[in-house]
Amino acid sequence: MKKRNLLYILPLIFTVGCEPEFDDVNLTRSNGNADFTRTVAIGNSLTAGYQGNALSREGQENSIPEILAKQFALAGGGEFKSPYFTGEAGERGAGISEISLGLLTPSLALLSGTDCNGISSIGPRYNGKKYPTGDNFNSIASQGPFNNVGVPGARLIHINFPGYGSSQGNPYFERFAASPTQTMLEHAISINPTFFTLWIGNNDVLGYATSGGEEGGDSITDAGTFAALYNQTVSALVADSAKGAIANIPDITSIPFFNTVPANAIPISGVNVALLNAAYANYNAGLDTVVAQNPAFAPEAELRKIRFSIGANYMLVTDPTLTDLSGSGLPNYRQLKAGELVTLTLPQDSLKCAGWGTRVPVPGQYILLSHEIDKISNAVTSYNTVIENAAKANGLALVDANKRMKELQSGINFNGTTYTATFVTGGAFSLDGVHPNSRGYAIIANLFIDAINETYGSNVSQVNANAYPTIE
Amino acid sequence: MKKTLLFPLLTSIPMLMFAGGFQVNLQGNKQTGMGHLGTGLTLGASNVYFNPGSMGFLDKKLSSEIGGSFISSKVAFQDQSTGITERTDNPLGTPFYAYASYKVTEKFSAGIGVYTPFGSTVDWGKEWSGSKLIQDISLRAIFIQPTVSYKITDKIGFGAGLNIVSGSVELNRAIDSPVGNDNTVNLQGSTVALGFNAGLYIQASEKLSFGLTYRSQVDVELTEGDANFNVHPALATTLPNTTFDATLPLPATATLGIGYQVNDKWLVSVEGSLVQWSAYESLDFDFANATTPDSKNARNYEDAIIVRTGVQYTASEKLDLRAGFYYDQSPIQDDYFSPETPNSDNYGITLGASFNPTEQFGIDLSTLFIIGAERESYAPIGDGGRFGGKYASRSFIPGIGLHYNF
Repeated sequence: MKKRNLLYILPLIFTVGCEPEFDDVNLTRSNGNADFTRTVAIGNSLTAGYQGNALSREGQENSIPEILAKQFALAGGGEFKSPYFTGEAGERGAGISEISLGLLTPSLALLSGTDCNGISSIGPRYNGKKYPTGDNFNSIASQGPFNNVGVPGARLIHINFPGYGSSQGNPYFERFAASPTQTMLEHAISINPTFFTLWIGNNDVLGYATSGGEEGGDSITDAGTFAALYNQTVSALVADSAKGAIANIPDITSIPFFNTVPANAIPISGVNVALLNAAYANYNAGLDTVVAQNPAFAPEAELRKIRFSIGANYMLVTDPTLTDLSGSGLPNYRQLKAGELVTLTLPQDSLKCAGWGTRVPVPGQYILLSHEIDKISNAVTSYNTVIENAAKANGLALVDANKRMKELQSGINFNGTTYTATFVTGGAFSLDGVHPNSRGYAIIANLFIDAINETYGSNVSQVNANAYPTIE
Repeated sequence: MKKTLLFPLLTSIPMLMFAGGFQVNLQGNKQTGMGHLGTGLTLGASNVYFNPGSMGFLDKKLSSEIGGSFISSKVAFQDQSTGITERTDNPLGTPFYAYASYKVTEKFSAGIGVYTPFGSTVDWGKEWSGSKLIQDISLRAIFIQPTVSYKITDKIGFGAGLNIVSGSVELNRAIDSPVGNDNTVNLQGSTVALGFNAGLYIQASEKLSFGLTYRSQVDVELTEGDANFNVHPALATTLPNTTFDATLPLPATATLGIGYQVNDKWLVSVEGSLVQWSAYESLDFDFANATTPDSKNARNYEDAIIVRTGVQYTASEKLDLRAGFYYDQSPIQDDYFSPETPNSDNYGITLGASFNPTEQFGIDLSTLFIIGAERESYAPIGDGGRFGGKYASRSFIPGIGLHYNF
């Protein structure tokens, strides 16, 4: 009898709780005064999850709105749909780039390559895999509406621009717009959102900056126009008493795209210094002649004189704002000054082997001169004033991305890992030098969460940014 | 002899897991059935482990025991920011033991034991959120203990054995880097270390017995272990394959046990242990290659106690039934809790039975069910960061053994 009792006990222990469980199985968080039932995110590439020069499935999955939606879900948040790529575009390593719209391009990766001097090094390169052009931009509108209305390339004006979702507009939006005439704003409002995030305005100045300022043919949106459009957009979003969080514009001149190639990137040895200085002796003498005639020209002549020395040298460029002396046979040459910026896209081989920056001025599309930088920072400042006022006027959470970007300059420690704005080793940016990587996006998502909690008294948890993917 | 036939088979099986820290208290199925106590008792050849001082008090000239357990343990982790729960997928652990105790003379006994009192096999998977602390770890220690015991009087026995410890560690861990998502390092090393096990046994009366044992600390010093890095090409020059040195202390344990034979049928016992885990201050990997950053991991364990109680009911000459309970305090402080040793205060519930077809031979069965209390703890990570959340564990451990005494 005893023996039989004992045998009964064995299966009993097997069935009773061999699997450890937690008291609070579904971790619950509070939504405060906010209501996350139907959330929508409007913005540009930063909202879509663009990184490494392409929009990829991995980027979409780690976009700020997706990260937020998972945290909102613990605080009463509802379903959240992103217009995901599928098929080949959804594979790791593939992405869809703005550079070749509609084509699948490999994402940037750190790969070994050889420069014009035959020296091998590891740097950001396309992985060289061929991806077939497919149905990546076929419409998925029937599966919508989508909660992530982030469209790479969108400027503020595009948010309510009929036709932006048409074949003449932006293919990223055309994919999921309900009709060719539906605007991004209309798409968002069709969800009847209880909560929205808005991060727009970066492209209103970024395109100008990344194409080297004046030479690029991309303009900065006028501050007055920006204010009017921005306030219209926010008014439409809050019309049905939705709550929301709006993010301001980081000072884009501090991204790695402008801070990786130094303005004095050119090392020159002794022999070449003599040769180069000899080549510019006539130009410098010509400037002296102008000063002799017009002493007031002396400061500009000093700025323009070309002087190379042994070691690191500032690059030779053309500055259109200089006095036109072409009549005297003097081009608008000068060397870059400290504080002026060179883009990440400057071909290194041209510096090393084609004499760019020494024998030949670096083309303006790769250079931000100081007057261009001033224009950019003035625009960002005025945009941010508009955004801050809109947040105050409508009781919205203000996400201070600009401040966070400044903090990133000196390094921020997130839970034991330090992030900086340095290219590759800083850990926060993707290999295009403009967009964050997935960890960078998670850090910004945490910034949204903090601002939302502070404004609406909610208790939404931050995410562990360190657990997200980094560059490959 | 059966023992010699079975022994080579059992040693080839991988093993181990669980108790406070990475201690594995499963050194005899009879004892396990009673809450794993035996210091104050004389239950068989396993006295070689439980109390060398009581070897001379065994009934028969030669006693032998062999057995093992099957540890099915599961640990769950809940991230307190994302709510995501992750679970270990631990392989079945199989600690084993084999003992022989021989009365050379009435007063003098000699014996040998082979057993596995420390170890851990924890597998969280390659991708889990704490992979930078640990992906999987397998820690093994086989103790071989030649032992002598002397009956000072009819009532007092003292014994001591030398521990020859074969220890090995293998672990995989992800490396945090701004570049690359699959950077990992595999560390493995093995060594032989020495320690001792001493015990005093007092048969105060026919009914009452006392035992006091001390098992020394054993430092498993790994020298020139292999560190194999599998990293992104951009990191390959700074992190080449190299060797490492590390020391893992297996702590000393002092135990006091009391046994009381109530009547012919009932035996009760209580026991308390102090495990000197405070010896485990840090787990440091010192790499031979200069550019490989050394890995310093503070542990700062605290001494911990184990309290056990158990009963044995002799139903007939052929059947003993046992039950027990113990409380095993976690040595790990909340601020130094690493998922490589996901241990919380454990509550163990045990049942056991011995079937004795003949006077010489019997089968010993036990089951142990361990409930690891839910705890919220964090481990230091990176530069002043913390990784953690809530942890909970369950273990189910059936065991089987044979004894042969004549």
